[in-house]
Order: sequence, then C-alpha cells, then structure tokens
Amino acid sequence: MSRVFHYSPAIPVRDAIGFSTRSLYSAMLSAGLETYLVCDQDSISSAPIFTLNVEQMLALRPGSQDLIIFHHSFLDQNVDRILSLPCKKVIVYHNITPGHFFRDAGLGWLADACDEGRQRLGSMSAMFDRVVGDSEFNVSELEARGYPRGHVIPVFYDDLFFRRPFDDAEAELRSFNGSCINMAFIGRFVPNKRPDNLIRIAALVGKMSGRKTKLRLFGKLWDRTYFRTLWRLVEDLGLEDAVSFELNVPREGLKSALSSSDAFVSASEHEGFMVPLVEAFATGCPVVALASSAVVGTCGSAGLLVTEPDLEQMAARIVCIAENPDLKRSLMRVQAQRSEDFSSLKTLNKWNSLLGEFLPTSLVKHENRV
Amino acid sequence: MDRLFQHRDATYAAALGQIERQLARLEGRVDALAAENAMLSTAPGIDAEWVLGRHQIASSAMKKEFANILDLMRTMLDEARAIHEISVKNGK
Repeated sequence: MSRVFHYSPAIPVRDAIGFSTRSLYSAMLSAGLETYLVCDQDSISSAPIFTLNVEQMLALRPGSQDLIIFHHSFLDQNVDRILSLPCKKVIVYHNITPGHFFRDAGLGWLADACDEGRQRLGSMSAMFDRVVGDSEFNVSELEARGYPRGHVIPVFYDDLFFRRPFDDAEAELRSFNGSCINMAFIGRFVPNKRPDNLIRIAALVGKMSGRKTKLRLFGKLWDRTYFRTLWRLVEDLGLEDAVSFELNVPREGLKSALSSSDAFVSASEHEGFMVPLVEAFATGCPVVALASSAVVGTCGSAGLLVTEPDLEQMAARIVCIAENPDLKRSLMRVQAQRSEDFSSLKTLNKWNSLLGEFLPTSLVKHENRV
Repeated sequence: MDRLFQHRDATYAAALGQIERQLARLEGRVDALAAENAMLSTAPGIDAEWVLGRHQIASSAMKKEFANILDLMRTMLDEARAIHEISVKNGK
C-alpha cells in the first residue's frame, strides 16, 4: 500500500498553511491511509506531535508507490533531497512574496531569500506529477515559470469554527463597541501587507466620519525595526488610542473581533490566497480590500474591492458600510454565500478528484460530490 | 439612572447588530444552497444519499444559527422588560 508524506518546511499549529496541511493529513488518516507529516528539523518543536523530520522520512525509504505532497512557500534547504526521491510528487504552491517588498523596507536578508526561492521555482518545473496552487494567481505564476497547467485547490480553513455562532451570546454583546467605527486586520506585520496604509486609512476614516475609530491589527511580529516604524507612524498621526497591535491572539479572539467589527480592511499588495478574507466572510464581517494579487480571486463577487491603492477611496467605503445598514447587509449576505465555496467538504472533494489515481481508497464517502 | 439607560441602550444596539449580522449570514448560506441545488438539478447521475447528507448538514447548521438569533432576541426582550419596569417605578 502506498504511503503519503505531507512535507512543509514548517507546520506551525497556528498558521494557515499549517492548518491546511494538517487538515488533508487528518482526512487521509480518517480514510485509513498510512500517512505522515514531515517538516524540517529546525521547526519540529512547533509542529504537531508525531511529525517526522526529513531524516526520519528518508529512513522510511519512500519508493515509487509512495506520494509526497510538497508544500512550497519559501526558499527551502530540503528541496534537492526531497525532489530526488523516486516517489510520486505533488507540489502545492502557496506563493513566495517577491523580494522587493522587503528590500524597500530594509529587510535585505528576507528579500534575498524570497528572490532566490522564486528563482529556483523554474528549475523544479519538471519534477512533479501534479501541480496545485491554492489560487488561480498561484497557478498562473507557476505556469509562467514553465510548469504544466495546475489545479486550483484552496487551502482548508476552519469553516466549522468560524461559521459557528458564539456559544455565549452575552459575551458576544460585550465585545461590541457601537460608538466607534471598528476595523480589523489579520496578518503578519510585513511590508507587502501594508499595515502602514491601514493606519493611514484609520486616520482618514476618523476625519471623514467625524466619529471615533478603532483599528485592531492582529498578527505576528517578524521584524522589530519594521514594527517600530509602524508604531512611529501611529504616534505621528496621533492615533495611539485608535490603533492597537495585538500579537498571537487565539482564534477565539480573532473570531470575536471579526464578528464585532464594521469592516475587515486589507491594503495588502501581495497575497497567495489570504485566508483571513474567508474567515471574515464566514463570521459576517464586511470586507474592504485592495484588489491585488490573489485577493481578487479569493473574494470573487464578494467584498468591496478598490482597484487602485487609493486610501481615501478605501476609507470612504468603510464609512459607507458603517453608515449604510442596507449595504452592510447585502455585503454580508454575498460574503456568506462566497464562504461556502471554501467549505472543507468542497476542498476535500477537490483533493479526492486530483489524487484519486494515486490513492487506494477514496477520501470522501461519495465520490460524485460537487 | 442615566448610566443604566446608556448601558441598556448599548446592549440593545449590539443585539440588533448581531441579529442583523446573523440573518445576513443565514441568507447567504441559503443562497449558496439554492445555487448548489440549481447545479445539481442539471447534473447527470445524482447521488441521492449525498444530497440527503448535504441537506442534513445544512439543516442542522442552520438550526444552530437560528438558536443563537433566538437567544439574542430573548436578551433584547429581557432588556426591554427591565427598562419598562424601571421606567414604571420611576414614574411612581
């Protein structure tokens, strides 16, 4: 019987790619397959228990009947060893951010690693039996680098959790602050996501509406120097009371913030999929976003997208949503419908169709699901 | 007294906001189901067991969402009742 190895350099517990990798692994375990999570030794402490490191996987001698699902989103020191194995291989491309976003912000080391990772993408194009991208944007990027046309399969997100209403209605009410225009963003504090522009937008929303504003930025800290520049911008604009940076907040806190905000705002200029958009859709938080990269495909017809990085236009849309209940309601309705396209059931069906010929058993109970 | 009324007013506004949010989500999910049904009606070889399973999942999920809206409505009723009692006492 074939074995399936899910390899990603890191499989952190609280991370979108980590969650998606674990979801497919769990579905395979439930289907009775022999399957393993594998990551780099340097990241093993943050991976789920029972995750193998690369050496342990190699010791199992993966052969021609086995399958490696290779998640790729950064320069990876294990690429050559893994791709030289005689087993079947599927690449899942989550995108590598172009280096210029980091170089412009003084993060040269990160920029160089990203650019090298992107450069090496082309040399791997003939190594895979199947090509998967989690968005049309990612699939097109691979195609431009010589890969065969790939399959679009979105990442798994925790749909059951984000769709489920709060168990405690009173607690939900307490999280609501009706006197403010509340905005939220979820994502790492990195230059391509443009948290600096979100801060500027918060200032504009306050001026345009004449109301208090609150922008909550939820994320992870990557570089202290860059973070300090963001905080300086907050001080320069006098927004110390209006902007908060909230680090490593548990998902219950994220859900609570989304379901009590007037808008989820994104000014990100480069995304490979952007899971928080779908989480906002599922929790009923209107989205205002810059129409960039994969954001357009993830939103589909949902959300209010702004085609140019025009901060005044974005601020105006947030004020419109906060002051127009009909617009807010219709946005939430379309978004809830869109979130259904990313349900775990549908994503698993797509994987089942793709991997059917490689696996001895189906991942879903009924194979002709939509 | 003013503070108490302000608190009740905020709770009332929050409850209304949450009911509105959940209704819109529910509408969106019904739209998605309708779109899926339309797609199924033209699909060859429909698997009845699958359709049944999907409908069961959808109906139990919607029951849960409705339950939360009902909770919020009960909270609003309690608030309205309490405000009424206070205003009656105050009037006396």
